[in-house]
Parts: sequence; C-alpha cells; structure tokens
Amino acid sequence: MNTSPLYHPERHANVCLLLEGTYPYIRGGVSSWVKQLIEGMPELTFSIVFLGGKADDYDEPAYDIPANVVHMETHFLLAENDSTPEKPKFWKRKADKSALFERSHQLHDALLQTDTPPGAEVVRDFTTLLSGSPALGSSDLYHGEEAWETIRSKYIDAPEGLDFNHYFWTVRTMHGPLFTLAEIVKSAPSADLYHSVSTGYAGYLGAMLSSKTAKPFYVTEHGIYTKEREIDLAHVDWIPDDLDPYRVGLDDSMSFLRQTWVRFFRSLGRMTYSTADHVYTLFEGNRLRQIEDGADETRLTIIPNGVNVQQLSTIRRSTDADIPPVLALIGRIVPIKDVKTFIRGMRIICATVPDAQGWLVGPEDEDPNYVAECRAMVESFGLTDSVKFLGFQNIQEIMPKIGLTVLTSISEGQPLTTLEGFAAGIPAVTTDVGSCAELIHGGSDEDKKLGAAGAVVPIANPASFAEAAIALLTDAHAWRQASTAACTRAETYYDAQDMIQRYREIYTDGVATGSRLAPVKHAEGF
Amino acid sequence: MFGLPALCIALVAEFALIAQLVANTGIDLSTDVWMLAHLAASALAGIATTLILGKQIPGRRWPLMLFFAAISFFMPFIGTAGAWLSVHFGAILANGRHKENVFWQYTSNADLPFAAPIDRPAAKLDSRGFMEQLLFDGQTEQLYNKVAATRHIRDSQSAPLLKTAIGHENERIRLVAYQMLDKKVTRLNREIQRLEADSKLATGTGKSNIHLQIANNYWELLTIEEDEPVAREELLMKAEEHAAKALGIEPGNVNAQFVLGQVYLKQQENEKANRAFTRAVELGMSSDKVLPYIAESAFKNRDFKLLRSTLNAINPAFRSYPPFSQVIEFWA
Repeated sequence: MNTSPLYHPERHANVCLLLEGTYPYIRGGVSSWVKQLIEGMPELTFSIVFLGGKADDYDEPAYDIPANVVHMETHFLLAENDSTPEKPKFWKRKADKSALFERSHQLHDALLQTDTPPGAEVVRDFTTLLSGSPALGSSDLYHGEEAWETIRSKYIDAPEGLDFNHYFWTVRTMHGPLFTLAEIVKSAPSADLYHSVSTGYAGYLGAMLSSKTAKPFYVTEHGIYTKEREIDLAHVDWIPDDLDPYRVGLDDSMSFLRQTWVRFFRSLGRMTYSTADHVYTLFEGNRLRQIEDGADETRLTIIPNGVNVQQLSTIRRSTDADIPPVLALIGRIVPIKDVKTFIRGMRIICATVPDAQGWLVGPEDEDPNYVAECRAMVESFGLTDSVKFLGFQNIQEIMPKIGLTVLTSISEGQPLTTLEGFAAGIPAVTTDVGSCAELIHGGSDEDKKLGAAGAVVPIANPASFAEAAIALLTDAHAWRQASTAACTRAETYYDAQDMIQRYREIYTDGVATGSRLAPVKHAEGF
Repeated sequence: MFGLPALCIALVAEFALIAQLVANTGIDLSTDVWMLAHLAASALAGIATTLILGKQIPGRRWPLMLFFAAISFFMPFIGTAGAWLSVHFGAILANGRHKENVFWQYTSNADLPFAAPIDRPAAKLDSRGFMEQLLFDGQTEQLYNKVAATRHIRDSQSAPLLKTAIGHENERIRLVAYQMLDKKVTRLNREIQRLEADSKLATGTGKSNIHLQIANNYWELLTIEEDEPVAREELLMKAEEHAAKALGIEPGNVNAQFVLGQVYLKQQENEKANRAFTRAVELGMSSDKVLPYIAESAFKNRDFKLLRSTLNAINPAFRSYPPFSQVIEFWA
C-alpha cells in the first residue's frame, strides 16, 4: 500500500522525476531545484517516484505539491521484507531459476570489467531478470537454494579468512533494495520520459525504467552520488573489517567487504551513465568526476543552477544603506555543513565586531543530535546572544536583514543559497568546495572580470573564515564592490529563467521522442 | 653584569697592544711582557664573551671559553670583536630559522611526557611517517585508504593526521578525514551527555568515577581540538572542573588526581601539576607512571635539580626504554 498523498498511478505524466531522499520530504538545495523546475514549467505534467530509507524517517511532505504534479509514489528501500517463498511447480521452478541465476552470474562478471562501460544489454538483462516473467524475486534471494549456492561459490573465490557470516549478510543486505526497485518497474509509472536527480538507486531505477519502456532517460547530478557513498562507506562501523594483527603500518588497502559495497554503488552509477540519453551537472569539477566514473564525455552537459533574480533584486538595499553585521548560514543543520566551524568563527568575529550576529537559518530536524551539539557549543562559548537558530525561514524576509551569506560546508555542489544572496546583493564567504570558488571569483575569463563577490576560505578553518568575514563587514567599500559583482554575476550567469528554459527544451524534445515510442516487450527468460 | 665591562676592558687592552706593535707609543715592552699581556687580555675576552653569549649557546661552558680565548689570542683584537659579533648575530639568525616549518619537524616524536611503558598498549600502527606522506605524497588513492584506516589507531595519534588530511587538496581525502574526525567528536560529546545524566542519579564512589570519566572524555576531546585556542581553554576548564568534582566527592580518587595533574600541566600551572602528581603517588599510583609527568612539570618549571633527581628515581628498566632513554641521556 503506497503511503503517498497523491497516489494516482493511472495518470500519465510528461516527465517522471526519480528522487532519492530529497523533494518533497526533505528540504535542501536539490529539493529547491526540483521545486523550481516543476513550478517553472506549468505547461508540463510531472509524476514523482520518491525513494527513501525507512518509512519512519519521513513525516509529511515539506513542500506543497504543485498542481502540475499528477502522481506521486513513495517507496522505502529498507522496509522489512516479509515475502514468503513462491511455490511454483517443482520441475518448472528448477529449470527457470537455474537459467536466471546463470545469466545473473554472467552479468555480475560483466560488471567486474571496469575498463569499459557496461553495455545497454547488461542493464536490459538485469531489468528482465528482476522484473520480467519469470523473474528473480526477493524470496529467491532470501530462501532459494540457488542463491545460497551462488553466495557460497562467490565466497570461495573471496580472499582467505573472510568471515562467511559477514559475507552472506552483506550480499543479502546489498541486493534487497533492488527488488523494491524491480517492483516499481513492474508497474512503471506512465510517462514520456524519466529524469533522475542522482545516480545510486534512483539512477538505476531510471535505467531500468528506460530499459523496460524504451522512453528517454536523463540524469542530473548536483553532488556526485558515488563519491559521497564511497566516502561514507570508507569509515562506517557497520561494515566489519578483517584486520591483520601482524601487519604494521597504516593499511592502504580497503577491506574486501568495504570494497564490495563501493563496487556495488559504482556499478549502479556506471549502469545509470551508460543507459542515460544524456547526463547533466552543475559545474566543470563534477563533469570531470563523472567522466572518471565512466560517463560518456559526449553525453555530458553543464547546466548551472539558477535563482529568481527578478524577484530577489527587489529586496536589494540602497548603495548608501548601512551594512548589518549579520552573517547567515542558510542550510540544513547537518554535519556536512560544518556548522561548528561557523560557531567557532563567530566567537572570533564577536571579539572584533561585538555587535555581530550569526544566524543559522535552516531546518533542524534531519540530525537532532548534531543540532544539540551545536546548541551546546554556542552556550559553552557564551554566544547565546550572538548566534541564533532561526529554523526554516522565508529567504525574502531574511535577506534584507543580513550583511553576508556564509557557507562553511565540507562538500557542496553549486549552493543555491549563495546565488540567492547574490541576486539580493549580498556577498558571500564560502569554503573552497564544489563550485564555490567559481561563484565567488567567476568561472570564465569574462566572468572573472566582474570581480570577487565575497571571499573563499579553506575548509574547517574558523580563523580564516572569521578574518574574511570581518574584512568584508568592516570595509564598506569592499563590501559594496563585492555586492555589485554578486548582483551582476547572478543576473548574467545564474538566472533561473535560463536554467528552466534549457530544461524546457530538453523535456520538450524528450516528450516528443517519448510519446512516439511504444514500450519494448522484453524477451521472457533466458 | 660583569660580562660587558670585562669585554670592553679586554678590547681596549688588545687595541693598545696592537697599537704598540704598529706604531711607537713611547712605552717600552719586551716581547715576553707583550705576550703575557696579550694572553691575559685574550683570556679575559674569552671569559667575558662566554658570559655574555653563554645563554644563546647550548652545551658546557669550558670548551666555549677556551674556544673564544684561542680566537682572541691568535687573531688579536679582530678575533675578540669578530667572535662576539658573529656568535651574537648568528644566534639571532639561527633562532629565527628554527621557528620556520621545515621538513624534519613533521617527523616529530610525541611531546613529553611519553606514556610510561608499563601502561602503554602495544601500538598496532604508528602515525609517524604518514604525516609526511600526507604533506608530500601524490598517491591519492593510497592516501585515501590510509586516512580511512586511521580509525584503527588511537585518537591521540589519528587526530593530528586527520586534521592535516582535512587540508588536503584532494576532496575525497578531505571529506573522509572530516567525517571521521567529526564522528570522534560526536561520539565523545554523546558520551559526555550520557555520563552527565548518569551523574545526577549516582552517589559516592560511583558519582566520583562518573565525573572522572567525564574529565577523561574532555581530555580526549582536547587531543582533537587542541589547536583551537578557545576550544582548548574551554575543554581544559571542563576537564579540571570534573576532575575536581571527582576529588571533592572522593578525595582518594587517585585517577582523578592524576587527570587533574595532566590538566594543570597543559594549563602551564606547573607547581599545581607537581603537587597533584605527587599526591597521586602518595595515594598509591605507580611511580613508574607518574614520575615522567613530575619530571615534565619540573622541566617546565625550570627546576632542573628536581628534574634530574626525578629522572634518576625512575626504574632503570624503564629508563632504558626508547624513546624515553633519549630524554634520560640528555637530562639525567
């Protein structure tokens, strides 16, 4: 039973958006971008497939769903699987499943060849394996003899000393969500094209949907999903390590199980890239990383983020107005934003500019423990009067009251809040991550001539951040120069209208192609 | 006080003796008398220069004095003035140079005091050498895996590595280092919050030990945030507060006494540190563990007599244990 408040699977949409852990349940940069896109194209209809972890982690949608969204379905990849084994006739079952497992072996072997991208037939055959008739279902993995034998034979090839128990559960946990995706594909939401806003599970779902329906499939990546997953996997505690007690020195090889997990997500990414008709990203750094991860250079395009410049320009302050000594970190209060560095920096800033204020503007529900730590830190530094947690606020109301937007993040794509600040004439101090340096100093030579729209500082360095912020807040001339550069840069390069227009063209082409194509009927079995 | 006037007298005497050689000053001096006078002036110059510059030059005074006297003797006047000028300005330059970040400084040994061998767990991995790789090695894939592998080493060793890795130009290395460091801080903060809640319900020895654990957690957080002056001060204050609370509830809590000594040592309260460590020994803590800390507090207090006697009191088996043996060799 789907828990979506807008579940109308019978409705056809022009564009089906595949969203993992973002809009409409989680606020953030990517969600704002999706909202912009849907609201910017009222002439098109959208459907949404939302993929989450556990159902308990999501409450009501954080955004109002626009009227042109005709259908939305939610799926949770870590849901308890209570499937019971199917009971087909014993002679048929043996024959069918053996062939499927045999093909599964071959496809897994094909994915191990990382020199060349997996061909479209690999994704097509995986799709058929999981969603065709007959298909490999979760009960085959959890209760089937062939699955047991497959895991056992793969384990024999694994490095000596690996704990079988750990290996067995790794394989089961890893493959579980794919069966949920297969269920979505079996009753694929009707659309002219599919657009995934990341690789990972959402991207792979798009690849399967495109393979099954032969409709165009596009991917837009804000952050690089595979990289982020890989970094998480490098240090999480739930993957057991096989430490060699006799080895001396820091080990430069990752444990087999960690490697297996990393390879799994890389494979999802590679299959997504190889199936997508086109892949989009926000800036050059990401594009290079996508090529490194196996994306085809000829099918990659950069489309930068955009903000509503026209609307935000109405709240710009006059050139002779005072600069409020208020720094706003606008974003979710989560570790990746490194809010603690902001708080530490505020301590230094307040020592020099006593009436300075630091505002944390953003939702606090994603990581309550981290929020509690930040609050405790503010208290222990005696900054309760200077650093305020404002929660989610309307940008239009916040911008006129602040002097700088701040980002202390450890990782970013192309932050919308910085661009919104630019459009409102507010310079920014950001860490040197993602495309922040490009935003502040300009990307092209032409852009660079506009001047710096703030300052870029090293990550996790409160002193540098404070120094840069103080320099801008206490020097009205420098602030105004930065403000002018910010306004011009936003108007010239980051107007939402340009971004929406480019996606409108992509969608219009895709819809025209997609509506001409009839779903492909896959060969049944192998 | 004595050094500069003595050096001036020696220089004037040397100048007069040189003048006697090159011009007729009207004073009739035999060669023997001239040589004796030159010898005396050179010796005086050697003593005076050693007294003036002795603080800037490490090592024993005797050879230094002979060296300066010899220079003055074999290069009359020029040797005396030249030795003083060159050593004086040379020491100033060298002093400045030692403050620069140079390659070899990254291959550092642990700060004093070294963990006493009796309590030292067998170190599986050692951070030394990896710091150099992080700074100078271009093999990012291997570095990335090694940074991730620092989760297997102690916080005190991994924290400086991860902090260095946060500044690495490679984004993956930066991110994994940041996340690991953040995880450590989060773990310790959560543990502190839990213990603070527990302390409200506990009484007697149990309560004292909970405060000791909180102090220990703040101490561990310090290893991660040490180069952040504000955080450092704050964490030391909290660690001191909880160690003092532990002692207030149970004055015989020897481990709390020891932690308090460590905190004082970091706060440069060397005499207080010395008293806390001495009290820890009185309460029954192994002197093998505490004596190196007492030695460090004596060193920081410039009490070299106490430093020597403390080092000499350490069990000979531990004194020969490197790298502690190097400290003994130099200071005992």
